[in-house]
Amino acid sequence: MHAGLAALGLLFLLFPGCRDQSKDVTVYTSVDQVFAEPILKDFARDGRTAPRSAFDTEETKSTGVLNRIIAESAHPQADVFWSGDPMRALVLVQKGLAEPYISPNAASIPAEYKANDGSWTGFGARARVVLVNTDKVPAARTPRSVKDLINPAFKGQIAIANPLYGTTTMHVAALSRAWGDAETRAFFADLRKNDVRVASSNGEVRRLVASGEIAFGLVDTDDAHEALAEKAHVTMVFPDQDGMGTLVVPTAVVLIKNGPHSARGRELIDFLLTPQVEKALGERAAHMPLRKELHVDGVPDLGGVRAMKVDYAELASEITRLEPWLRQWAGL
Amino acid sequence: MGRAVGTRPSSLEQRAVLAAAAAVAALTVVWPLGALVHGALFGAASADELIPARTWTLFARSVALALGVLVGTLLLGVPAGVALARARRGALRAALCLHLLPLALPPSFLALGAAQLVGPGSAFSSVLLSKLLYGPAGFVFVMSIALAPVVSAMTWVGLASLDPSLEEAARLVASRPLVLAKVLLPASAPFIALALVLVFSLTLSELAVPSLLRVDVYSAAVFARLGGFRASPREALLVSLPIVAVSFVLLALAHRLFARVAGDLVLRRESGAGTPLGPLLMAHAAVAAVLGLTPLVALVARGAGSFSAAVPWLGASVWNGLRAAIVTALAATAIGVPLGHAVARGLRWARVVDACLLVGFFAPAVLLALGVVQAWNGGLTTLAYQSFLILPIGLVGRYGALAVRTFAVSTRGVAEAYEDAAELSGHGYLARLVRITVPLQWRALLAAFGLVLTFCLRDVETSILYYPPGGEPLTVRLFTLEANGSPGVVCALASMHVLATALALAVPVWLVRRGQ
Amino acid sequence: MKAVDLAAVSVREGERQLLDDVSFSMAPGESLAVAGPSGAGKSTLLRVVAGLRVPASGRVHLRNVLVNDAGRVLVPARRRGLAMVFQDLALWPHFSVRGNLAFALEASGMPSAERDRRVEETLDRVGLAGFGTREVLSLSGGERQRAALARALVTKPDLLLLDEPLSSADALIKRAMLTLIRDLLSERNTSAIIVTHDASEARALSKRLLCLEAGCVVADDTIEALTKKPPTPFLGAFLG
Repeated sequence: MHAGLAALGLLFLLFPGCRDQSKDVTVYTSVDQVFAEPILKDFARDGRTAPRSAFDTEETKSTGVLNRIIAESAHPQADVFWSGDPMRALVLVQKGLAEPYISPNAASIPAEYKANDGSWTGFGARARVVLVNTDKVPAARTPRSVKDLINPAFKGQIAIANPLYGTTTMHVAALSRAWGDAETRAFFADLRKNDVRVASSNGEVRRLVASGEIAFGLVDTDDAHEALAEKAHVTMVFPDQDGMGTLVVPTAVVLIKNGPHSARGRELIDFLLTPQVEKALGERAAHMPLRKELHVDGVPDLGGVRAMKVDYAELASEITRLEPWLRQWAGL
Repeated sequence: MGRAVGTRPSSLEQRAVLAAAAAVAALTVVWPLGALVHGALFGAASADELIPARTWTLFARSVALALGVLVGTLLLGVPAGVALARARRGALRAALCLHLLPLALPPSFLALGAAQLVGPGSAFSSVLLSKLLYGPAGFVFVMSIALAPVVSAMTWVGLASLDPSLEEAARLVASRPLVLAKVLLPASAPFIALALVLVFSLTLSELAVPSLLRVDVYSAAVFARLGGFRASPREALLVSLPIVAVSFVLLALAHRLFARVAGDLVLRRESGAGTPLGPLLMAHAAVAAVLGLTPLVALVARGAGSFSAAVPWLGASVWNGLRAAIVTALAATAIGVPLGHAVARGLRWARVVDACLLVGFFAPAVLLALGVVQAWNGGLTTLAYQSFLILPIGLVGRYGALAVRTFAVSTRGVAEAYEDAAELSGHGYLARLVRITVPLQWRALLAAFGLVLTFCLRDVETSILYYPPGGEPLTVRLFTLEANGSPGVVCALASMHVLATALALAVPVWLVRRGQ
Repeated sequence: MKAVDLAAVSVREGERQLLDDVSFSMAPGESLAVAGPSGAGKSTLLRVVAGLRVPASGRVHLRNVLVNDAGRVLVPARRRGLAMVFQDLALWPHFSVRGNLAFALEASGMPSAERDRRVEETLDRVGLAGFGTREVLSLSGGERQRAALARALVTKPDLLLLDEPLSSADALIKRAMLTLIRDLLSERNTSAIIVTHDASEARALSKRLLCLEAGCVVADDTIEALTKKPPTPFLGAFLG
């Protein structure tokens, strides 16, 4: 009797569930779950099954879905990788793990935000901005450039996220391409001299600025919007508008080579690249649409922002070169 | 009665059972870590492979912080454990048990709770408190609260297993506090020492709390070699070696203390009968409970208005986590019983298997998880990798050692003659295990199950890397939602997690009480 | 036929020699008392005979069957047809008195009706009739001694090993138990090895005494002969 009950219980525990998962498309994404999940659920609205998703975020400090895809590369489990930035997408491209796919919906995406061969395609973008606490910094002294971070007047009052991870790494690579090695290293040495606070994530920088613990710091536009939505006393500055411009970070999709359901993966990519999704990403996550014809209330149009001229593929190589030095800089 | 160590004949039946348990350890620890080592040795070479001098400084700093946490957990945990062992009334003991609750949450949520309390805009907001929280002091404080329950639970078990005559003899010549300090606690030292090894290891591998509280620690150096764009498992493995080495040294020290655990726990009366809980002890236990509960209360308070908004975000994550934890706890207990028994009875190769499982526990979780992906994704095991079973597989590798250790300690305290008598009556190994060893140690069995269940329910660092898409446990969901998610919703989900864990743990506790 | 025959048996534990070249034999129905200072190897000797300890070298025969040969176990403990009363009695506390005896018989494959009959008969024989349902932990010291003896005898073993079975019993219980053990052994012509620290116990249960010192047999003779001319100071003190 007891043994029978125990066996039944065990069967129940091990029962995989009713849903046939053999045809489900699988997506790995490093876009914040709070934004990505509702959009992925929308995919299921037209009679399709919702994708099976694995989420990650730079804040979790996990090794990330990118490394999971690399670890799984012998037997890929994901069909699509939806990256929060083009760098991770390009790492996969460089490792030969991406299957080129030119989605018909990508036609209206500007050429600088996608690969010609369709190995990655960008859409809804963030930008690297300076979040300023208006209580601590008078309007006249509001920083206008990334270089204001090394202004001794703000010593101990500035923060960046750990440059080893996420969009901050990409930002360092972009600065290195724009300024060259020597100037970048000098800038980072000056950041140390200026007692920069190295936070665990951009979200943490946002919290530091919003709470007034520091005067300003580098974050992504979605973090800045979050602070603005919370009615914190902050303002968002697109840096270097009269110089090299602001780094734009589009999200990017990649079709995984030899993924289990490539056809459905393509379907998902087509869906993600629709203007409706780009708009939804703007509304939900304050991502700026790359399509010039799209406008989202409360989100700056990309057309009005002077963007840094960067070749994302070059940045991906630059990151690999810079990482040992960055690790040293971070004391790890 | 002499105890035959190491030369007791083992039957074919025992060898078969132990081989099965060893196979589980091999599949969940040796194979994944082996796959990682193989990939690291034969993969592409990378620069900067030696541990640079700066990381040794970081290591020393991390060890110092971990020692601080040891002191903190001792100060909080030992008196609370004594109070738990002394409390005679059910209601009082239940109230004291609340102090154990923080163990049910990933420590990062205690850090978040503490930040809710002293952060800007909170009731106790102050620059000084904020500075203290975001620094080494805050790290030691949060980790001490998070891990003190490990020490209190083991102190409780240690005191409960002492022969009451020990205390009675001492009471004739010394005052109650002196008896506690000079007789009872030193006699429970083996249990407390094991707790401290766990605390030290968990502190050294903790990553989320130090990164949230902006404290530089060594585990970040391991992660930096895996979490960046240029992942290098080889470097990560190399950098992990000091963590594993220090943990094993501590364990060896604890082992020496464990050699003292002997005799017959089965026939002992419950100790401490008639010794009331002194007011000082009571007050300290109350402080420990309040300290542990305050961040949780802060979480619940913050999430109070968002419970309905949080429900749609739950998905199947509660069931995913609970199911994985129960299956893991069952599997870990199933291997923990024969292995723990064999370790305690001195079977050499059972000790080798035990050591393998300990490597799984001591090594940074991210390494084991990455190994699970490399080993299990492909060939015959792909089906398991794609199913929810992959969660228990990795978790058994991570926490299986806890079940083995718990049962080994318990077996050491049970006279071998019970099994000998059964063997001479013609009973084979399995019959002795099922009919004698397990019934005599049913509390240890439930303790092993409960311990593994708790650690699985709070796990995030292992499962986050390889959970099946769409099958994430609540802790992982909490973590991924924490980025840019509404703080109210996240706090509400964390509160639900505490509730679900408390309910899940109530079952083994209820069974123990029913058995008593 | 020899009930027990040990030839050049040695047991080591690390650097320690627990038994060194021990040889002796016993006839069926014979009782042998084993004495020696603490740590001399008395319990180890019992465990070797029982099959709970593997000797490093030497041979062990039980009823002319080779059971141990040079470190190999040819017949495991559970198939040696012997029983043992342990120093701490080792009654299984999670079984009742009857449960202890029934579990001891379970592996024999005996039909349950016969098993029940044998249990009741044995309990009756040791003076525990009516105690079958009692919890082991609720028994007095003397009752526990009887229950342990009943559990050992219920399987009707050819050889009974007693490891200081009465060391914790008071004088009254000891006297009653010694009579009971002697009667039970003679009823079934059961061989017995009795490890003891008490000369009166040895005299009551056996005519022959084997003395171990530092793992070696230093004497093996009748108690009477050894009392007259003790070969070692220990035996002189032991036999008074």
